[in-house]
Amino acid sequence: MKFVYTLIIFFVLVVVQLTIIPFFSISYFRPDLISILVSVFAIRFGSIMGMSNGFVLGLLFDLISGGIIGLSSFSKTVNGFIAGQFSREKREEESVNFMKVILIILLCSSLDNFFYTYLSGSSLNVNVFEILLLYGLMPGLYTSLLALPLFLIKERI
Amino acid sequence: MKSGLMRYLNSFKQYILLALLLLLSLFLISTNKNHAVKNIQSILFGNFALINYSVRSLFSKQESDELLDQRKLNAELMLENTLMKSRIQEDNTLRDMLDFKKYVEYPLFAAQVISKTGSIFKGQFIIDAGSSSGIKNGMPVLTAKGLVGVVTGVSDEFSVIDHLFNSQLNVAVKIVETNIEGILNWNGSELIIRNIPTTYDIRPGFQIVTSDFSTIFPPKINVGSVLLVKSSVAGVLSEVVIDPGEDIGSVGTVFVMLIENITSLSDVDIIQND
Repeated sequence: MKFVYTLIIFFVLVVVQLTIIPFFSISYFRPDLISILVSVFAIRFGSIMGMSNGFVLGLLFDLISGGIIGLSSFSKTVNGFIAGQFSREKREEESVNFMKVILIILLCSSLDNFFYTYLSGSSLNVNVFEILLLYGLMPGLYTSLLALPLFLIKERI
Repeated sequence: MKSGLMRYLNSFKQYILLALLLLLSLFLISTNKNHAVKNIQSILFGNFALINYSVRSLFSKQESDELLDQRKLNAELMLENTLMKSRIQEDNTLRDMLDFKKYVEYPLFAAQVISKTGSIFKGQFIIDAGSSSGIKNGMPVLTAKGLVGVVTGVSDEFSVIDHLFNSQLNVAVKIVETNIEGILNWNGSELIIRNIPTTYDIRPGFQIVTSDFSTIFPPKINVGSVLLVKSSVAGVLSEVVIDPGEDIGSVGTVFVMLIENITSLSDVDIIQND
């Protein structure tokens, strides 16, 4: 059932990501709502579920956005794996403080954006550090900033 | 022994799954040119773009027909103007004037950009016109200011455009004032023409148009102008940085040039770098 709910939320978020989020983009920096969903799911259900979820949602996103198939599934799998390292089964406390969740989203989203951008330009002579900083960390910060309103909905995950 | 192995594998199962999923993703990236994969993608993308289009139309105002006609006229005038300028440059070659209206006669089909996707290296648009409007893969996309990109994916009602800020798109271009030919490419931060001998006198402001040798784009469509010329370390070859005619990031209305006999995308202009 949790996959069905996630899939419904995913389709709503994809519509928002492709239609409304471009209005909020600053140059190429745009928040990634799917990345937030993958991270939160992995924090709740662990890295195996998180990776599988990230792979499937990434693949679906590539298919319905007209992008390069496999790019998002790669980056979202990494996202799910890393977020899963902070899941319930791996920590002692029952729930995790929201600010920690924001930091996890920052880390996972930055790496997600980094891998997506790096793989899309892998044939070019690109500066890895520049991609990590400009096209990884900056959109990651923007994404985690957008995740802050989640605090109003749920204090602990 | 068997249970020991199972226990061992179990302790590494998340890493094994990670490796499998990443390998599968890389395999999928390599299958992007496959026709079956493209077909599945165009069906899914076409259906979902319909939802995107409906949602986006709630937030953005549709342009009036009058404004759209005006934009179309501007685009046609731009094409004619660029051609005229080139003709002045080539005047003493006395080429066949029957060619004069060769591409101005290609009809332009107006479309709205409904979504911008991709990354800094692979910029893409989705537009609200597809095969039902006569759009096919490989058709050039432009605005009143110049070339914007090329159609790379088509469903019934929507199309995917690879715009100039896409490292997979290589455009054969010519510097009008000097007649130097080159290949224009996006390197992630700049639009550049590589390997131009430094002996050529190229100055900022020189106009760039599509080349006569282009297999995808009709010749003499405005692309932009020279921004600066960078010499390589050896000082023998230089890189010419181009300022695109159109502000690619804020494009709203585009025109697809409905060319009947378009060349396959696998030809010279578009080189898949996967």
